[in-house]
Amino acid sequence: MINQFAVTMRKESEYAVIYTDGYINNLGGEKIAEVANTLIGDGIYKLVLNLEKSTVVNSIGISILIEIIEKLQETNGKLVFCGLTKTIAKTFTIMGLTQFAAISDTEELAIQGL
Amino acid sequence: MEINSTPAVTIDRLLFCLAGLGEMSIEMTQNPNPKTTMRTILRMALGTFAISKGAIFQFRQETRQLTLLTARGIEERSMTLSLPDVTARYFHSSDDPILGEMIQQAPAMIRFVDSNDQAMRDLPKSLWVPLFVRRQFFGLLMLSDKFDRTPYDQTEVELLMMIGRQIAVTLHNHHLHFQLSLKVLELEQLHDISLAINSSLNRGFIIKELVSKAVTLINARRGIFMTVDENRKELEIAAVCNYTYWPIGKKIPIEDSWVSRVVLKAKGEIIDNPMEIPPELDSFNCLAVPITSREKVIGVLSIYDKEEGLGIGEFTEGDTQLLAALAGQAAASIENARLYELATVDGLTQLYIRRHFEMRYAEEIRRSKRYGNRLSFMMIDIDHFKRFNDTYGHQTGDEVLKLVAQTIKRSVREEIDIPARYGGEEMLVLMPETDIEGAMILAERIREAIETTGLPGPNGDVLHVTVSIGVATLPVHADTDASLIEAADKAMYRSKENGRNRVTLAE
Repeated sequence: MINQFAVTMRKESEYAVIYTDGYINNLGGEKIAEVANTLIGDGIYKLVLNLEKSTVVNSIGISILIEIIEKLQETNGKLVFCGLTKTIAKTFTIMGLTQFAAISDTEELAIQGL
Repeated sequence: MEINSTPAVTIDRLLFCLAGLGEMSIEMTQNPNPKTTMRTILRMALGTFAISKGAIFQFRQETRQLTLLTARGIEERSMTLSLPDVTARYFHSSDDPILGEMIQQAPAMIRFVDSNDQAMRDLPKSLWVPLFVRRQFFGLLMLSDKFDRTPYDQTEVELLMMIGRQIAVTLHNHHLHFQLSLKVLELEQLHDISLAINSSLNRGFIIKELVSKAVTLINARRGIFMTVDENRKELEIAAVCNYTYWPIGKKIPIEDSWVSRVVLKAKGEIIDNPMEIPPELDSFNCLAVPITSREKVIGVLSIYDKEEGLGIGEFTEGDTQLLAALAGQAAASIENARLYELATVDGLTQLYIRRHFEMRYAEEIRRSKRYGNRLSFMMIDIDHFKRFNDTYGHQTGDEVLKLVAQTIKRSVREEIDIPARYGGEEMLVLMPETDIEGAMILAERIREAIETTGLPGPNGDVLHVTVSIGVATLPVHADTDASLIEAADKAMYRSKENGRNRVTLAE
């Protein structure tokens, strides 16, 4: 599989939105972690992860998302997912991620939920 | 799998686990780098079961310690865990997973945690999966609680055991691959060394090369080659590497030597008790193998102090096999060189015989003419040798011949110049690619060395001899092989006419 993954970000004063495009596996997960870690390092502890353009997430992707959630928990931060496909939403739910990071239907609702 | 444990969710979660297992098996077969593979596998395992922290440790048989290969959720740093005997016995006896309660209560685990107090603080202690291959303990997979804090259920533990077995097999395969790569490298080196040794017919050169290459091949610090005499009574030092104390030619009775068992049993041996090695050798351990020709031990190759990191390690059975293979290769070369020596070297002076010289001379003349290189030649005659023989007897005369020959051999370039006994007390040296100046310098050095070296006489006095030398160079003084010898011979006679003990250049 050709892995073309892109991650972009919109940073506001209190929060930031991370946009992904592509398969969230080892490489994709690392890129998300890199952006999230930089934001946390800059003092932004409220993050929205918009996965509208990502349709698949694998075990490594889950592992990396857990690391980001745990890091935000240490700083009293918060992560909200939005734009999830049904498959990804189901995966996050069965893996227990949604107990620690909420899912919103839209980006606006996700920002409100921070 | 307690959360949302409706049948549909359980099935979905199992499907996700199966997908994760599939990804892991692909990773295990595709990535050639064990460190990267283990890092990815651990991450996949943590993601598949939504576990926060994990670590994979590999058991090192040689140190009996567990070494950290990779970790997630904790700092990934260089870390080793000591394994108390009671814990080692536990791990070697069972591949059952060890759950948190047991980690805290079983004496073998308490001992393990206590003896690694500092390192254990950060390590996950909710589930430990011993890694086994063919009932052999290979390492430990350490896992924390799951992200959602629910306890591991039976299915998850069984699936993690499956992953543990896959990790162990992968580690085992990488270990075998590494061992195989090492063997291939060793064999390549062995082949190169054999080629180098086999390319020479000079026994001294072969033995010297053998010792130095053996030291490099096995990564030892020093080495010695000793020949065994015909009667199997004495060893004689023939070559050393990185030793200054042991002189070449020193003789040691086999019975009193530290390698006597190697000679008597004709079998390689590791001596790891420093008390068995002579203190002058200043070594902690030794690996010695016999050099055997036609079922007879003709020499002993021994190397000392295996290098390991910054200190001294231990020689292994693998080292013994490798050194024995090298010794086997070398034995044939040494024996060939011995036979070649018998056919080409004069027994008394150890210089080449005239017939061999003439063959080499013809070759060098051809080479010189083809490439236009200078070829020099010196004729050496011992002054008043007949009078010497008549005065002191033939035995002393032979000692004079040996002394002059040894001085010549010591002065010339090994494997390049060709020193020979031409007949009676006449000796000569053929010097390829040497001009007049180089030849004259060497001739003067030989003359001076002989003049200043004393020889014990029959009455306890010290005798001195001198030589007259003639030097000629092709194509300056001659253009044919016969005329070059003639030119040097005439120059040598001019040295005699002008008072002896001098070097004269041909006209």
